[in-house]
Amino acid sequence: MDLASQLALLAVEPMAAQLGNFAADRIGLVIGAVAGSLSTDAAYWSGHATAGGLSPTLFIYTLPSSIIGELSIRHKITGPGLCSVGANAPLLDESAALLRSGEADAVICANIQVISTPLAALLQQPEAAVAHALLLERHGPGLREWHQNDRDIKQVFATLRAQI
Amino acid sequence: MREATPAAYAALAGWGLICATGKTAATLHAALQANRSALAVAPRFSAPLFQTNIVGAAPREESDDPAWELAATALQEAVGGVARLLRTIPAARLGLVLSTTKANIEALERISAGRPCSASARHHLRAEALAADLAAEFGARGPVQNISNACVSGLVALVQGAKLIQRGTADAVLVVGVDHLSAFVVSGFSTLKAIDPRGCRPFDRHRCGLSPGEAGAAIVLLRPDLAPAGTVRISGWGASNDANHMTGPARDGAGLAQAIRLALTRAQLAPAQVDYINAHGTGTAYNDAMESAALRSIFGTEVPAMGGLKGMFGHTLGAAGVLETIACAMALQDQFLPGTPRLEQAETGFPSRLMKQPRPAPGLKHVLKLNTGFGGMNGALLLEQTGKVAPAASLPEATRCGRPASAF
Repeated sequence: MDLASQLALLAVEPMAAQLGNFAADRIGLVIGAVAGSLSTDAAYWSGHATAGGLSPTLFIYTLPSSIIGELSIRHKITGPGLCSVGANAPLLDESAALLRSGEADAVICANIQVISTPLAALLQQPEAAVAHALLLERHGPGLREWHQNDRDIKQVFATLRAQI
Repeated sequence: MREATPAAYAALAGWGLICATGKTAATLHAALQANRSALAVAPRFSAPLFQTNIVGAAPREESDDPAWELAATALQEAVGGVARLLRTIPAARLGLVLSTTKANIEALERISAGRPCSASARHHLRAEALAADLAAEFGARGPVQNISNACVSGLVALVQGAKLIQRGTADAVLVVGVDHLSAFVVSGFSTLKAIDPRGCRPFDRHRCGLSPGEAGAAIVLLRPDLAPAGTVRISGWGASNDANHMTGPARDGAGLAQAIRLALTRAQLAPAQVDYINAHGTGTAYNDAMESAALRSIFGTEVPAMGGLKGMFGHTLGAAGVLETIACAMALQDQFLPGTPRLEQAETGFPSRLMKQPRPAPGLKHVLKLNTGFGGMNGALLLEQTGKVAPAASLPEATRCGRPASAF
């Protein structure tokens, strides 16, 4: 499993008990992959020039939406999923829309950013390993913040706040 | 369900594309009528890194930014076809939704190898940058989104576009799907042994994998009351997750069946009202079997006429949902059922109304489009021909939609 999926699982894990309050097909997943899957892309593609060769396991994680797959498998969530790339994806808007339209009773809204050391060097950007997740309920009291497992809450939460 | 009635969903006002069949929508239309496969040998994908060199390559020049080239080519045709209509829409009310799984992954290959790579090509490694630049180029100053939901991305992008219109955020939305053939992607599917070395054969008894393809495909979605009479419309959709396996679909097709049920409910349709199903049909053993199982669980023994088109242009990943929806819209517009290119012998036990060859279908009104993807994602989209169609009951049995004169 790549680092982005691992971070997403850690950020969402504290919600596990609450998720049990909802039917599996009534929980949605709205995911923002700030840097897409580029770190995993770089790791996968580096294999073509090495003795070990390309890794089929890594290739699976060269889709940003693999985070949805891992979260849905871990928590047995069968509702709709939405994955966007970039720092400005309208995650909260889309989460709220799923609730308002009645497509979901609860939505896990998560933002993940991974820029590995090799990718940082390749793209000349700072390294990052961040995940932040919120659970939104259709009839709940409002946004619930979950940050027990955040690696750098400030940056991502600021991104989310800016969109509220 | 708290949503508006189907009449409130979006209309497909125009489209454009570039894929293995050629550089315009007319080439796809001709290939559909002829049931012609455009899969061909591309020498650059030779062994040992690749399982095959039979792919669905689009007619494009070599470039460091093929994602841009493909997407812009498709958008140019789509926008050009409805230019007069779009001129009446303020730029701030025109949105854009990009569907892609790998954006301009060509840039990563070039940067890694120390080959020349322009700043814009490098920039388009990021889907959000590609979406923003396409929006700027085509004058969409309304909401801009990018969707990366594996091979369901295209259908999800169309749904997002329809939702932006339904919510009143936009009057028109340019939905563009793009993914290009790359050593990165073809090698990846090769490592998974997921490619049919002979070229894919969806729903065939001897199918053994997919064929990689590339495309840019664009649809102009319009607020229904602004669309000309008779325009094909989105009447329903559904999405789900298998919660089962990262690369293999749930064998029983329960996840896909859930998405189909949601789409039918939203469109207020009974299963028997669906005239044609355009399946995901990758040609892998598990996908096609799973789709058949899902369809049986919804339609029982009365699965409507169905088929798949990846034997024509390959699996175009993030573009697949948009490209294949264009094919469905063409079928609804011109009242025909597409065939299933490269299908030779249908798998035993698969739905019997599997279309091997295209044929006229007067009365065609409701089409169900399906896609599935890695991670267990499923999508279902219902399209409706809202113009006058010949009433099916008055047609001769042999030509009535959903009742093939012969099985293939």
